[in-house]
Amino acid sequence: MTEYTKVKPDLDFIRSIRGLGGDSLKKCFQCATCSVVCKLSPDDAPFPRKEMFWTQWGMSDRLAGDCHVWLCHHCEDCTVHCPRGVRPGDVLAGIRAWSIQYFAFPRVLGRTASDSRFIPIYLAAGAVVLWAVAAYFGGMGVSAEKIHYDRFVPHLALYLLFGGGFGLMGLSMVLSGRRFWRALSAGTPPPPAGASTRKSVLGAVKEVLFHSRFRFCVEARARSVSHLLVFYGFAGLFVVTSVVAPLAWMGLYPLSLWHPLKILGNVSGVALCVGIVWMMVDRVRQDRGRDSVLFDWFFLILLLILGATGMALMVLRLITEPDPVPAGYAALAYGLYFVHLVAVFEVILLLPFTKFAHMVYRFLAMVHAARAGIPVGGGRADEPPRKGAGSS
Amino acid sequence: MEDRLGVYICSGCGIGEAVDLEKVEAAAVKECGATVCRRHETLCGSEGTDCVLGDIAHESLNRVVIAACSPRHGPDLPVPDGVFLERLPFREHAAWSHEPGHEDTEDLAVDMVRMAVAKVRKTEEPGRHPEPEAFSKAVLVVGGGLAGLTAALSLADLGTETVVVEKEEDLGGWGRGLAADLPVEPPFDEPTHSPVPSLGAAVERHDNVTVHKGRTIRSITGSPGDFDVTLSGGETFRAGAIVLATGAVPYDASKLGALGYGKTPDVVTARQFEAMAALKSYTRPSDNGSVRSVTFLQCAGSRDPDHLPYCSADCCARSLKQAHLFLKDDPGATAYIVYQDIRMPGRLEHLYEAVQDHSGLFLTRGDVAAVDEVDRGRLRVAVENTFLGEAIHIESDLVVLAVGMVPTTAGAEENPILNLGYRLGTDLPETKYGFPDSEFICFPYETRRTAILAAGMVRRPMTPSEAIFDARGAALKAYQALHLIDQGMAVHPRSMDVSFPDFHLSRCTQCKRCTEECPFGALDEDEKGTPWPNPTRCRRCGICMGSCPERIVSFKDYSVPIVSAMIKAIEIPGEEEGKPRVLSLICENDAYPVLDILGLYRIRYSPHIRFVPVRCLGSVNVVWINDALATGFDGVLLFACKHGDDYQCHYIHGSELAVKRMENVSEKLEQLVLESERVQIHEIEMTDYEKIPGIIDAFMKTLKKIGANPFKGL
Repeated sequence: MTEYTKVKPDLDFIRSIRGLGGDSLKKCFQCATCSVVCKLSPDDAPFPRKEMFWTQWGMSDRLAGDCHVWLCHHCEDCTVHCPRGVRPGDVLAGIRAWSIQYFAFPRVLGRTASDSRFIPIYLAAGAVVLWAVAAYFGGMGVSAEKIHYDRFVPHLALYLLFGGGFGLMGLSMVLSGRRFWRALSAGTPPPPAGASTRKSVLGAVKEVLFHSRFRFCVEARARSVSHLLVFYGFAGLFVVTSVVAPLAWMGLYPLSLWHPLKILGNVSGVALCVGIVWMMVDRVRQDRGRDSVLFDWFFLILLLILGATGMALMVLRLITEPDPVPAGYAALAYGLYFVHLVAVFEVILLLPFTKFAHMVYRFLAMVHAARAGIPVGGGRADEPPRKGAGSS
Repeated sequence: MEDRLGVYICSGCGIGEAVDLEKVEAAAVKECGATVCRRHETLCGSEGTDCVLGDIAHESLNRVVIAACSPRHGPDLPVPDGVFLERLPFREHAAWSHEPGHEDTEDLAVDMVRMAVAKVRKTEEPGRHPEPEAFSKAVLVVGGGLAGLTAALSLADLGTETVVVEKEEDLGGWGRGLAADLPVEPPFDEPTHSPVPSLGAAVERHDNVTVHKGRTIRSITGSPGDFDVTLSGGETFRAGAIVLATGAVPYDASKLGALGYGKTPDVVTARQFEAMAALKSYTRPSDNGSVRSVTFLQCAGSRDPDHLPYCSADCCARSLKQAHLFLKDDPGATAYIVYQDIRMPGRLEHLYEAVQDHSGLFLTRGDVAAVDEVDRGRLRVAVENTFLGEAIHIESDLVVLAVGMVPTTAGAEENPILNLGYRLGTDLPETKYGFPDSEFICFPYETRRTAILAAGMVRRPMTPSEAIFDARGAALKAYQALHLIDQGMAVHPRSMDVSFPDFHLSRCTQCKRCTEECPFGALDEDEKGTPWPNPTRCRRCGICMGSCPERIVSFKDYSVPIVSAMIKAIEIPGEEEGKPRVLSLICENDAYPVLDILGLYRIRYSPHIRFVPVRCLGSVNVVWINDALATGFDGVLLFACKHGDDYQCHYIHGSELAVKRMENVSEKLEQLVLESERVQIHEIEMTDYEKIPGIIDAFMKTLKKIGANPFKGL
């Protein structure tokens, strides 16, 4: 007796993906060229042809629990070779954006965090809260002779606010991740006996650290490098900030320019900024402006503001350190500092709801795939990644 | 008048190196008695042709043989009436196919000249036959749909008097009353208004067109150039040619019970849905409930060995168009299309791409397993082998069957269309699947009846834009037919041939073979059974000539004596030389160009074979075989074209008849104590050129095994 699946397309889902960069998705005619050219797609469970069909037919439930969506690194090999002008890479990116919004806890934040109507509200709210907390802790002192960031916003206030925010959002991220994990597990049979979670996690960590699968991309091989820059830049800054914060409280700050931590911080800051600008130029140059959506741009812009203002503040401090502050510099410094703090606060606040969250989702998907024995692909033994493969 | 023969030999393209042309010249002058014999490096160039034409004028030549490249490659020479010219494929059949400088190649070349000379010496002036008379220059267009109207307008614009006969009370055919039709112009990405209303108006306005609506054809008697047409209303008129554009009708949906038709009124045909789209009122026939979801099932009846084995060509495009109209009228609705493959002929792919973009349109390939009614009267389609990799159930308010199309000629036995007065039947003979075409590659519009052209959906499944092209093509062919007939020329495939078979009736035994075997109804009989020619139906194939046991049928430039003379002109080496001779009669339409291809590819085969082109293997009179064997040929190899359902024979039954006649020949051979293997017939098509050397080699081996012809040298 044949088992039949009753299909009931989710039209709203289709429209969401079309709005998240996947506008071309309906034009797919299922030739499977995408699955054939994809270097990351495993031979025995190829993607993204099936994902394209599920999306065309509005099968959101299948896509929500599909780890292959997250094993795609948006190389664009499929997009370049699609004979129909469809952009499967963008469609999958759209599904990932949708997933982040869909699994987010609380969901309403997921839906609104990358919405152009709500972004100004969140930015304003962050600024107001920051201002209020600073004011409560007796800050907002502005000295024209010497720049005292601590008097402007007391460090204690920052630790409490950012630490608290980070904790809350971490909890939210855990809850969102748990939802995602359940969806992943629901769609696949239980992992085979002997499946090692430890090994799976280690594998995923290794991939995150070395981007070895990412580098099988043909069309966007360079993007694995810009992505590594941003990743390590961000990670380095995160570490430095976490270590330096208590030092500053103990009055051991600022550090000398040649202090290892300082060097790490500066290198990371430069890496982050270079990586982000590179990605932005890539997006504009590759004519992806059309389908590149706010979901991605908001994330890039926020990170760039974060990195650029951070670096600028240090430069300003170095310029003004020995002597009394030249006129006008103080206003600039305090202004930039406030913008920097708002950017940090927003990054923390929106972590589970914006593209930031992709690091958690992708990591979970990689662990899940390894644990469940789902083939992840990645090049072919007999076929090394080609350089400059012809585009059609 | 005295024969004055000129032989011209081209030495270009490697002919000069491959063949000792001095020997050929010597044979031409001494043996064949050429008045003029010249050699030229490029006979195909203007210098070469001027040389030939100058000699014809100054030396009063009336028989000319040009030994150069194949007539399919070389230029046509405008020789005056009364001059008979034969072009020999020296390059392809001698120089390029055989070993250069070998004596066998030379023997072949000399034999080729001998044959050509024998032919031109025996040829007589054909004269214009039939004599021009007052032929009708009007064209009857049957069917007033897209193809018919387009054909009528094209003809009328050429200044041709045109009569349109439409069975319905209104012109327009299926295109009438559609909400939108498939696009017929670039960019082909959106349904547009059907062109038929404006075409219909233009046709009715045109001074050169007479329109008969609500009429069918009661009878058509006569022949091309002189058809007498009587309509159901009693109207009569003459026509010289006919364009058949009666289109196609949907397959009988009641046979599609497997797709749910008849089970519930909510399974409708594409035509029924088209009516809903025209009114923008999509309701369920069962309960008048509004329709918010539709499932289109493609290939309903088409591409199905139990129903119509072929693809009906426009159903995919029509379903996409209907889905587009439906989704445009109700943006919240959903439409599903289940197909085998989406087939969008021509540039309709652009329409597919555009329509596919609807968020509410869902496409998958799949096999429909069942269509059932489920709760609240909704329909459930069970589909297997989908792109999902799983069997699925699709629920919708309505199911639309994209029913395949059947050419109107398929039912002509019960419902005659043309009611022709031909001995072969009242309508066009049906070929595969009931279509009336005759040779779809070379002659798409020509049917098996001269000057009756088919266009549009009746000819093959097609889309509206293809039907428009088709109608224009058929209109031009009809126009060509009118004018060639008027000049006493053959229409096709031997376009402009002025020869016509002569019947030496005093020797006729009234055996009726010629009248019965003519594939075109060109020969009727009087009461006694004597052939009664309808000259304008004739295609000059010579099948009558091949059929006649008394050999009373002949053309002035193609006859039993002419070919016999060619055969006898070939020199037969004595048995002691160990050089066999094989006569090969080849179809001029397929085998001849195939041999040209062999030459172009420099593919070698035995030099002991001598080719004599014939108009059709059906025109081969068995006396030639007798002649050949009596002259000492060791074997006879015939190359016919393919016959059968996917035939290529330009004269429909020619090669089939030849095969049948050769069976009788082998019986005769056995009576003469000659091995029946000495005569073989092979069917070949254009793409078979690589097989020819193998066939020839095998034949040569057979001959070697059975030994030389015992009649040799007698």
